[in-house]
Amino acid sequence: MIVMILPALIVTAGLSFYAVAVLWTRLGTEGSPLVILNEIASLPAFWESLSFSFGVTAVSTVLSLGIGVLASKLLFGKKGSAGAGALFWVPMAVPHFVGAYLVIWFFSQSGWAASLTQQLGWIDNRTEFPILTNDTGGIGIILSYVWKEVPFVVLMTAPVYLEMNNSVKHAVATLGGGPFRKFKDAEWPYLKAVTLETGVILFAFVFGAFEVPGLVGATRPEMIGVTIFEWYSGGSWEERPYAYAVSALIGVVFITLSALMMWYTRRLRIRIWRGE
Amino acid sequence: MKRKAAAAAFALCFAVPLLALVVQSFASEWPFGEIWPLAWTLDGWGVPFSDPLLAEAWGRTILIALCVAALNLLIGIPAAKALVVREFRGKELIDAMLLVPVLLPITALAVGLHIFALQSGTANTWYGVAFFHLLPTLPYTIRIIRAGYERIGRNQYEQSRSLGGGAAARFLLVELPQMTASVRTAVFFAVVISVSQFALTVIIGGGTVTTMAVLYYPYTNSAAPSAVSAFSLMTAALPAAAALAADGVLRISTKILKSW
Amino acid sequence: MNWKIIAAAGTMLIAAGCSGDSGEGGTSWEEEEWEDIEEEAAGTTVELHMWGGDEGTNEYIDEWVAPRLEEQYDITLNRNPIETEDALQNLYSEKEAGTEEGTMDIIWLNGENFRNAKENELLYGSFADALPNVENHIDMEADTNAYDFGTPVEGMEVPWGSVQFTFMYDTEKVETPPDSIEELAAWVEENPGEFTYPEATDFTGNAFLRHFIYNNVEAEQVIEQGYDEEWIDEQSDSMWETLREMEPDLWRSGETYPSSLSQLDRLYRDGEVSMTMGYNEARAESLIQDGTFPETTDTFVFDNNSIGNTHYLSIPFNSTNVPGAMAAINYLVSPEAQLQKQAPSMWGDSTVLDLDTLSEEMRQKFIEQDRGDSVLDTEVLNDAYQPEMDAGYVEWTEDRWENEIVQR
Repeated sequence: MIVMILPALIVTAGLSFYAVAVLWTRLGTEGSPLVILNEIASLPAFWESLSFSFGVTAVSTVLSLGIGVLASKLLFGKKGSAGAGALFWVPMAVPHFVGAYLVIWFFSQSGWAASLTQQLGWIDNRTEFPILTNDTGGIGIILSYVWKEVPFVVLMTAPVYLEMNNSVKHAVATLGGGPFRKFKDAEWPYLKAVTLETGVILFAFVFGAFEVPGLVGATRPEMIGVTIFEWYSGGSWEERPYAYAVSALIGVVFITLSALMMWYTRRLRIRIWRGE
Repeated sequence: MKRKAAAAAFALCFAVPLLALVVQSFASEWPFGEIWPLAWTLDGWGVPFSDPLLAEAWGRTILIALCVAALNLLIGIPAAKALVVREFRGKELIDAMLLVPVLLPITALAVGLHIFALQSGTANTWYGVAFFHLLPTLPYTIRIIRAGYERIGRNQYEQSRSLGGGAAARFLLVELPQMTASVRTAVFFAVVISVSQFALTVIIGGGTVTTMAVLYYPYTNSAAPSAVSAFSLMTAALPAAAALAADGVLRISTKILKSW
Repeated sequence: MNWKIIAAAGTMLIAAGCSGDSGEGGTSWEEEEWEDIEEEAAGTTVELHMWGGDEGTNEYIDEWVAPRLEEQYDITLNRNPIETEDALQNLYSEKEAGTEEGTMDIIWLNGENFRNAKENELLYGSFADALPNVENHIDMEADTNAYDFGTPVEGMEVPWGSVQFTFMYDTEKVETPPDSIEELAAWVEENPGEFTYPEATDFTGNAFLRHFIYNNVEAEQVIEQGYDEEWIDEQSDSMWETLREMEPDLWRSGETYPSSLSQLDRLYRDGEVSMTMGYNEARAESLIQDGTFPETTDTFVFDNNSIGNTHYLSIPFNSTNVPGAMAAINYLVSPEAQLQKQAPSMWGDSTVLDLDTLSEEMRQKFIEQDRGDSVLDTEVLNDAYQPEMDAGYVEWTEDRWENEIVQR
């Protein structure tokens, strides 16, 4: 058992913790980590950025999960492949910033949708087109992530539908439940573990990434990933410890969160494995 | 019917934007207000093709991605299997630990690991880059393969055990054929992620390991949309090809094994 | 579970990570005879690390410089595309890890990057004076060469080219381009929504904002003063006031700013705004030629206020081929290489050579070179030229812009 897991464990957790330790010792040479965290906490922009990131990330994650699971159900819920499966791989093969770039290409005030509405005579001037990119509400960021992550959710959940025991569903159907009831009783138990896990991965990624908000986000409020990136890549090397400290802190929070989730979904996994 | 409509709607939302990239890579004049380009050009594709580092970058990218995919399966499959078929204490904790690299910002990881790479002599080499690409890829591989094992189910797994035969033969003849989809997905993922790694490659590779991402990332700062589109399409082609190849190899090898 | 083993392995890794200490050593090549250096350089490979996002720039190195270096000096030049910040981050880690044999021989840098590199001792040392072409054709004492954003160069890097901040505008939309900050502000008020600038964290956006500093205080005074936070805070109230007044009439009413120059360029390309800008007087040329910018694009500078800077080449502390690097840099600042670099199809920036030191024939070639229609006359550019200020002001601008403009 150890032989099977240890290499994977060293590569993932081992190297990650080593990297965090290196960054931590670097913080130590330039002032205590706690002092640095204290400094960061006193920045008003930091808290604003944190709550904005939380909101945008939560909405992006929930929408991606919802649409993704629905897509899985519609496309793979019955026997036989829908054929559209291959198309879902498309957004996954392009890098994230290309997704953001496409959102700008389509939804910006000089984008394709604005061109089309103008041709149709719905708007006279492009400034009448709603502001959907680089907006202060994070709509552009959410659109980019949903486009990019829905296929990921489908990829993770489609196999569950493909293999789901159809008889369970029929049993509920004969008992006479509505579609929601059917979903909740028959499908959700199988989906729960993988959906939650996918959600945690998505949440962690969206929360800390900078490429997408850098392109389609507004100057203010700013996603925390962008703030970290600016601390890290700015000309002043004195700000780098901030980037390391906040990265490490966010990492710790997510690791704890994922451990709790694993513990929560453990029994579900065992039940699926045993075929109960 | 409902399913066909849904499939069409999703295809429209998710695949059509890619067509926009194709069209734009050939567009030389596409002002606001036009829903179709006014003039065409091959210049967008000329930019990547005129870069003398392109051939080298392709070679490096493919080499690294293939190694990453192979290492992922080699390390990921046993770990995923153990997580499903074995019962042991602290499983949740280990499960969570295996997820750690994707919960941390990748730039922070890269900076932290650079010292280790330098001292182990893996910095500035393509194999070092390939090894460290395991961090952002392995957690996904393990999860995908684990789901595959879970779906085989205990009954079937125990049945195949009771039939006897070596562990290796059982793995090749019984488990692997049932997991074609999972393996294909894992390879696809590993390649996608490896190909798009920028920060990790630049830092571990020290700038001397030129992959497609390293080559084209700076071009994204250009205002010429056709070049960016051409580069994006080029990069996206690789993972798709890798997944198809993995699928083919698996199917053929299964047939050969079964015919024994 | 074997946590102890893992913990032990982790501790070992960390211990290994922290124990590296670098020692100094090696030959001082700058004291050798130039013939010996060239002889030593022959047959070697030189690794050049530089940003790779411009087709013209890459072409110049790969297709013009590299074959000639090979032919004339038997030196193989390898270009490695990397951002300067990343390259320095790598050097920093290598220093920490005690890696004495690096992979970089030449690095392209200036400004804050040079300051960081110098402060963290990431560079080889003072070598510029040993190069014949520097000795013969470059005035290292001139202000534009001796100070790199206020940091004394001290021969640790060699000037490679110079650029000047210029605005690009569409002649169809802007009749007379503004020639001062006040006129720009007035133009913005008359044409709401048609102007914006990149955020202060962007290289170009920051440079745009620094022109406001020179509008308030004499350039000589800023340079003489060096970086002085209290002093500049006292001098700069009106600067932020002007910017705040401009804000409601900017693109999107100033609610958001482009996060990078490429985003501003895209807005200009699509016709949402009527002006863009850039830290290179010739950058519009290739963008017009490839159809990205409208053909009606022209450039302008403010009277007496167009900041220029010099970019440099240097050798990292752990280069394994210092003679090769020195010989290659020497060639890169030779008159023939500099003339070619100035061509609009290649790099298009201005030479760093002192034209008076060249042969009459060469001098004429430089003067007569056609840099493209959109590039302003040398005279206009020279008249408006103001030297770059201390790198400290870059961070100051970033910081204050955040507080005075974004947070309000």
